[in-house]
Amino acid sequence: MIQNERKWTYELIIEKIPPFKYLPRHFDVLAQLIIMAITGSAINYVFGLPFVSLVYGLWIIFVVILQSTIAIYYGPALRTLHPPINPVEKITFEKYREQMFDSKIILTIGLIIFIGGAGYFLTPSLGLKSFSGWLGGNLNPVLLVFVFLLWWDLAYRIGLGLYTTFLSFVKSIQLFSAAKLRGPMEYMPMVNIRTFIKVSLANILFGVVALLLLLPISGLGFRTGMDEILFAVTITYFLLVIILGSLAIGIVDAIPKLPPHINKLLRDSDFAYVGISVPFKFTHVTPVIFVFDGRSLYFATSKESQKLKDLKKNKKIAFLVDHRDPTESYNNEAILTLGRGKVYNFIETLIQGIRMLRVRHLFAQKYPRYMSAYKKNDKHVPLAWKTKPFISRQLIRVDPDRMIYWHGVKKIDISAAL
Amino acid sequence: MKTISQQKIPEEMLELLKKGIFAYLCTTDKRSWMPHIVTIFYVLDPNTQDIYFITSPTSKKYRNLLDYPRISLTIDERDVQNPFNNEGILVRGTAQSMYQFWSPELKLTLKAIEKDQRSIKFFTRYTAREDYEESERSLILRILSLFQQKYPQFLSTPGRDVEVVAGSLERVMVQLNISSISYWRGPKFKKFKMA
Repeated sequence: MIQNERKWTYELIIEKIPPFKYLPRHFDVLAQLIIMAITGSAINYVFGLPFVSLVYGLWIIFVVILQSTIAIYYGPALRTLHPPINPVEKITFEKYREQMFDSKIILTIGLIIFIGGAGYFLTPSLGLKSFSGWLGGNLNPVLLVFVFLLWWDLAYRIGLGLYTTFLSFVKSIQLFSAAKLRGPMEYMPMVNIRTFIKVSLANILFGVVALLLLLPISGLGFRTGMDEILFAVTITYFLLVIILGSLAIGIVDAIPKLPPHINKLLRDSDFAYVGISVPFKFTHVTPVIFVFDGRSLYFATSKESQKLKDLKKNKKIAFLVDHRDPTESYNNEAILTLGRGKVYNFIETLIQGIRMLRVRHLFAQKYPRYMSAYKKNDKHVPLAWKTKPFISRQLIRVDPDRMIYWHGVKKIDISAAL
Repeated sequence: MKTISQQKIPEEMLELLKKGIFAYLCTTDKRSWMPHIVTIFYVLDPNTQDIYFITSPTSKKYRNLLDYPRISLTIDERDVQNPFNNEGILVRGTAQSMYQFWSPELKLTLKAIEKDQRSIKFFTRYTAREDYEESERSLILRILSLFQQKYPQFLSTPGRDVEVVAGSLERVMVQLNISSISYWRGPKFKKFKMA
């Protein structure tokens, strides 16, 4: 029963009411489409509506079905979230989940849109002209019941999209500030971040699908006339959802992924050891200077180096950052990252221009003396040590798959933050 | 790049091997060829020029070594100010013999081992022998005393060190046969091959 608290009314309907409850989930939407399309066509025939009404009616049904598909797609994802470790983030996330499925608010918003729309359609000085145009002038009360049923389907989903977009936007800001209260080893499991981004992408899709409504609104191809107010409302809805959805993604994306202490160690450590393994050869391990951008690790190597040749055969990399206390082994700290190495070629560097500039800036900031030492001696060193990118140096990015942290003898796997 | 092929490790490389406190050992998982790096304590046997380190038989590096013994380790000295002062070696070698030993005492120190050799039971996975030859027993004790000399601060506080002797019931001593060494100092490179 607890499960049911986190479902939308629509999902409960397709689970409980025949024929949907007998169908596998994938067919629910299809069955809904077929039933609605047949009913719509029958109504069109019975009331002798013009062809344009049939086209618009089926078109709206199609929009409703698309919206349903989106909702069914991200509803289940939200139910499998892992609780974050930091209590403030945890509360924020739990609330997000609860509010996401708050049927009272969603139905209320749907109802407001429904009533507002119905009022607009039936007011002679406002939308009645377009409305009766869509129905070929036929305003039979029985027909109106069916038309408003479809309008309710649409209004409910428009409201749902608006609500989840607003909620995700507000929550992204709350999560961002909650992340600042993390303890040194606290983090948000990456699976949550991915779900959050997925939901925001679905919200954006809601906005895009709303654009389809512009066909009947503008009366394109059927000369039913353009309804300027509805046109403006739809465009506003689209822009609002797109902007808020993108902002939510951007904000959540900017939340640090790893625990603060790990972030600090990776940013501040001067050296790392890179291990590479080519099948049936000796392994290879060498020290490097590196930078960390919050997500990936970067190091540069000579074009001539063994590392580069080996990486082309096996891109798996072990990357160790190690802090040693020569007198007290209990203070030793190490982070072992296991991941894949990505060798940037010239074209990829151009495409990733901004990222590359950032990485270069990070290097210059972290190793100012190294950079000047390289420059000063540039004429006297062999080609492999020259700093010119692409002629002698190759940038390599390490995308972490697993991360293990040791403090003394204590071992913590923090892979879930990746 | 210059490659020297001889039976003795060249002086500057030997110097680093003697001076180094930590080594970064890279093993690989033969099922996925995913490399793995850990920091280890090690000693160099001056007689045979083999490297020894001690680990736990449950550790990842040991499990990797059993499946695939061709490994490498790096010992280096670094200068945060100037890369031209960086000096280091990359040692490639094969894990040759592994001597597993066990003690009923949890806090095992070299002193305790020397005092009562019967408290240690050696056994090996390869030869299915329950016990070691006298020469092997003395080799292990000799290497252990090298560890004692090199890392007195860690061995003198039993139970504190995890890598060398104490802290666990079972330990494995791994003998690494050096195949080749790459040496660098600033931008200068040199390679040595065991003849």
